[in-house]
Amino acid sequence: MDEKHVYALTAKGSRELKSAATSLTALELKLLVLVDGQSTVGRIVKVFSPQPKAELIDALHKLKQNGFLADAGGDDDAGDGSIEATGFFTRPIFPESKEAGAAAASQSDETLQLLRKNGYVARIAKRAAEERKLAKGEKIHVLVIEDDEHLAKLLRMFLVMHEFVPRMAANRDGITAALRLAPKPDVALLDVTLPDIDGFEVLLRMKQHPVLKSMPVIIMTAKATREAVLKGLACGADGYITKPFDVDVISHAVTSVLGLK
Amino acid sequence: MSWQDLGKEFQKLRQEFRGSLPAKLKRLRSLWERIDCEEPDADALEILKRELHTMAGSGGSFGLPQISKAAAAAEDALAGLKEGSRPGAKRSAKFGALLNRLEKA
Repeated sequence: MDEKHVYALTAKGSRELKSAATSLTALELKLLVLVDGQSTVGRIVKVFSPQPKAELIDALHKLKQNGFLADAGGDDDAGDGSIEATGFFTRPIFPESKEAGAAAASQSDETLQLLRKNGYVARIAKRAAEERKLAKGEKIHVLVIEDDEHLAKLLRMFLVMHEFVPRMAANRDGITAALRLAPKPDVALLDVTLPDIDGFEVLLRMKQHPVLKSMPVIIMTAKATREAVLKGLACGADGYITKPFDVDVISHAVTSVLGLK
Repeated sequence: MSWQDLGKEFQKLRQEFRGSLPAKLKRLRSLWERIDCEEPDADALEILKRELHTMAGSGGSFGLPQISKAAAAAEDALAGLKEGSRPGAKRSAKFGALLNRLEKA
C-alpha cells in the first residue's frame, strides 16, 4: 500500500465512534480514532511504531472492507469524524492542512471556528465479550468519579432512574473510600480532570490492581483530542465519552461494556 | 421516580447549574486577576484552566452548549501561557472579552 494514501471515516465509521457500543478490536479502534481524512497511512503507521506495519495495513484494509473507512475524497457519504452540534474543541493529533485552516478561518463565529477546526467527538464503548444476565433483584453498582457537583447530581439521578446503584467520588480520598466499600463496583465512570489527581493515573492504577483490573472503566471527559482518546484506550479504558454528553449515552455505554441487554 | 419526574428533576438541576454560574464567573474573574498582575500566581492558572475545562464539559450536558463553547474558547485562550508568567496585553484583552462572552452566554 502507498504510504501517501489517505483514508477518511465513512458515516458508518463516524457512527461507530459515537455509538457507545463497539465490537472493534483495540487496534482497530485506535486506527479509527487516528484517521482524519488528512493524515497519510505512513504518518498513522509511525504512531504505532514498533508495531508491525503489515498488521496495521491489514487492519486498515479490514476497516475499509467493513465500511468504516473510505479513500479520502472518494466517498460522498463520508462522515466528518469530528463535529456535531454538541461537539468539540481541542487539537487533532496531526496539524491540519493549510487548506482546511483557511476554510475554517472564513467562518464568521470565532467559537464555532474553534470547534470546527479542532473538534472531536467520541462515544466509544467496547461491547463485552460475553452477555451478562442479572439474577433476580441483582443491581449494577456504578462508581461515578466526577468532581463537578452539578454533573455528579445529574448522573446520580439518571443512574438511579435506570435502576443502577451509583456510588459517588469527587477526589482521591473519595475514590479510595468508594473502592473500599463492598461490593466492588461493576463499572466505573471516570472524569479525567480531577482536583487532586489525574484521571489517567486513576485508570492506570485500577488496571494494575489485582482485583479492580477486571472492572470496566469508561472515561468521560472534555479532553477531546485524538491523543487523549488514544491515551485512554492505551491505558485500558473500555469506553471514552467526550463531554458534554446526553445522559442516555452513559446508560448505553454501561450496558454495553457489561454485556447487558 | 417516573420519567416525568426525571424531566422535572433535570429542569431543577439545570436551573441550579444556571444559578451557580454568576458565582463561578466571579471566581474565574478573581483567578484571572491573580494571574494578570505584577506577581502572577502560578497555582491560580492551573485552577482557572481546570475550572474552565469543567465548565466546558458540563454546560452542554445541561442543555447550555453556549456555555460549553464560551468556556472552551476561554480555556483555549490560555494555551501557551506559562505558570507564573504575566499574560501580554493582547492575551489579557482577549481573555477579558471571552469572560464577558461567557457572562452573556
